[in-house]
Amino acid sequence: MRTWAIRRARLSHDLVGNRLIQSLGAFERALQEGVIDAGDVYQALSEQLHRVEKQWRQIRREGQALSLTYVSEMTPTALFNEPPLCYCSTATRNWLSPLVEARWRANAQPEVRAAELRQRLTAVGSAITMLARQVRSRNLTEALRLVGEAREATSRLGKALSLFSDRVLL
Amino acid sequence: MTANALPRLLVVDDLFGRILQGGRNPEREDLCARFAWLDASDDAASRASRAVVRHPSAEVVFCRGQRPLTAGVGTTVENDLDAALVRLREGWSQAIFQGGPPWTMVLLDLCFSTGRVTRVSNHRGEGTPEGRPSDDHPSSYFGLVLLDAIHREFPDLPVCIFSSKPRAQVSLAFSRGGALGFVDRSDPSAPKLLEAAIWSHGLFADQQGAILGNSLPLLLALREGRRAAAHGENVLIRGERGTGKELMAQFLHRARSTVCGDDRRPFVPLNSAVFGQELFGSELFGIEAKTATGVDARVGLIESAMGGDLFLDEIADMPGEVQAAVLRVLQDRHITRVGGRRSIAVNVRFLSATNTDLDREDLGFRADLLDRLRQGGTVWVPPLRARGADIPALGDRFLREAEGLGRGTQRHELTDDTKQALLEHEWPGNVRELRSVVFEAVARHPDVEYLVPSHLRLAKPRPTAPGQETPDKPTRSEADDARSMMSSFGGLLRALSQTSFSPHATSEWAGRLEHLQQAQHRLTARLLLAAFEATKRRTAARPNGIVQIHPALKLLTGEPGLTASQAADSIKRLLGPIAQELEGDLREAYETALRLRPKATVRTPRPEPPGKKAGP
Repeated sequence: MRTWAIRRARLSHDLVGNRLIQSLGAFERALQEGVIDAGDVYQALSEQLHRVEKQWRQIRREGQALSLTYVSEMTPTALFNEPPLCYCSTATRNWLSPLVEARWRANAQPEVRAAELRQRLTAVGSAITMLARQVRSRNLTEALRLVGEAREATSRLGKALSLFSDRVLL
Repeated sequence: MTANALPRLLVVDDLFGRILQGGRNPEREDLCARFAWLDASDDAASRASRAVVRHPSAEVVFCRGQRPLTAGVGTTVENDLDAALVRLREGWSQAIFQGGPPWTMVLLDLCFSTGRVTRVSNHRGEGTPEGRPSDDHPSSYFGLVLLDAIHREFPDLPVCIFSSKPRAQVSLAFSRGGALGFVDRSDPSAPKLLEAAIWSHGLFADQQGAILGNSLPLLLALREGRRAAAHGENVLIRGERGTGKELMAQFLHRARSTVCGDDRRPFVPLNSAVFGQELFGSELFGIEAKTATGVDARVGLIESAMGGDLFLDEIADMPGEVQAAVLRVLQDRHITRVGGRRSIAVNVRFLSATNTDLDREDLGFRADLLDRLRQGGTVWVPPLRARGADIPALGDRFLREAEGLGRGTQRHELTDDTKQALLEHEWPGNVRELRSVVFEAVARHPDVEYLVPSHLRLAKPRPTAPGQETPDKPTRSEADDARSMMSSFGGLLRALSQTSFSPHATSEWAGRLEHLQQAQHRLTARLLLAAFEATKRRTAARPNGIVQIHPALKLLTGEPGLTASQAADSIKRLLGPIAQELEGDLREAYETALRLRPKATVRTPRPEPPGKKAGP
């Protein structure tokens, strides 16, 4: 598995699936059920928000890096610099490499995927920024609506990450 | 589990099971808050948790399935199958045999990250190992290794995959491994999906407490009942007399009402035997009003149960004409009141109960009717002797009921030896008999605080009537088994104590070797029987269990690495010398071993036949 694919799997599984979605889910339930005692409600929500924002910053940094490096890291042309394809003759490489590259671009649609990932990241970022604003201004009804939006946006981000192909030829 | 007790889950997961340096686990706290779980792990993370859950949906124990529990930079994290199995056994085997609530369900992660915790991996997430390529490959997920081990050792334990990995990658593997479902925890509706999985597959007691008990055969029967509630088809309830078939019918009714979200659905019970051929028409179908004759309209029982459940008890006693009439209703889904012409559509689920094997041709029950009555499945209510762990709690409940009826001036308790006497009784009349015994004891001894064994009037077992349920009963009682074992053991010890191992005493030895061997074989057989009993696979259809030689031998030898072939060979070696005497579970085990290893030769410690010369 190539490094980019490992990083993508970790972002999707560890950071988005196991952390941010769970944090937002916990945040949503806290708002829905009023599970936090009234006296501590804002402090508890602020702590939870701090955790969400910290996780989000990590996800945004890694997501942006991955979207920018997808083509350069995953292009099959790079495979011709490593065994076994580096043993191909120059003549073979000259026709095979562009063909594989073209097939990969047609199947994996790298620019489309990368653009979609950036778009999803922006959507989650906006949702979390608005959520933070409402929590800080103590408008919990609006915060409850926005936490649902943030969770949905994060779920769509997870789906966008899963659409990246680790294979060269499908 | 008492009434309204929470389902008890075990989550095996590297991320949520670990403990960070400093004792907390914020990811676990988030998970618990999101799923409304009460963290009952009793570890540093659960004690340090700040998650507040006001209305918990389950009580959850977390297990990392890896060692060490806490890892920092420089530590190497490895998967630990044995530690996970130990945690599982604590909540399963011990609960099953000691009467506590077992795991309702195990939730299993797929991908467990292993390897060294480096500065880079620690920066990604505190205590996170850097991971190895095989950790994140569907063909080598540690979760699937765990699943396989769990299913082999605990075949009845419900397991559900609980992961944020793509389901499609493992759907075949987890089905083969025996998992009952997959909940994607990153799915926005994961809490609801999990709730549905627990309802369908989890093992938990009747939350209303009407059916009391936590024994595995009972929990399996209740699960069948909940599953039957999902489709709303007719269900047949089978069980010996006094097992509580009507209570089970009420449970099925409540379960269906929960699924439908309508607690006003009617439940109409009727005893199939009480209707003569003259009355059944008007009782079942109702009467149309006749102005000329002055007959008032009357709604029949089927109409009364409209939108709900009609419970037909003792259907084996249903007269032939009534059978034909009920069959017509089930076929046409319409009824017509007596004296009427209007056809009324029937929207009723039929729950029927019997203690008789209605498939027997000589009983003359209509096969086409039987097929329709069990279209949605058969739920078996286990006999009380298969629910030994429930007897003390049932005894206590009946004491309180008897006292509530004013049958005693004192608050009564069952002494330990009274409970033991209750456990040793075979209970041919099942729960109803237990209730009568307790009520009678309280009525006869109202002024004592303690009920002792002599206060109990336990009926001697009677032979089962022909045609009634005859589940596979043990060939002898537990008391007989215990006596036989002590006798064998005592014989062996006596023989050993009288034996001198001096070469001069060889003549004294003569003739005793066979006796010693027989005692040893019988002792071994008793130990094997106990191991079989402890590891039996119990199902609703086989409440007395199915012998499993592999888990039994592993339990007996304490060797988790023992293979199935080695277990079969051991059974052949241990039981071969007394093969002619074997019966019941021992016979079943021996025959299983022969089937598994028909050709393997096994060294048996038989003495050489007289006159045979020793080889070179």
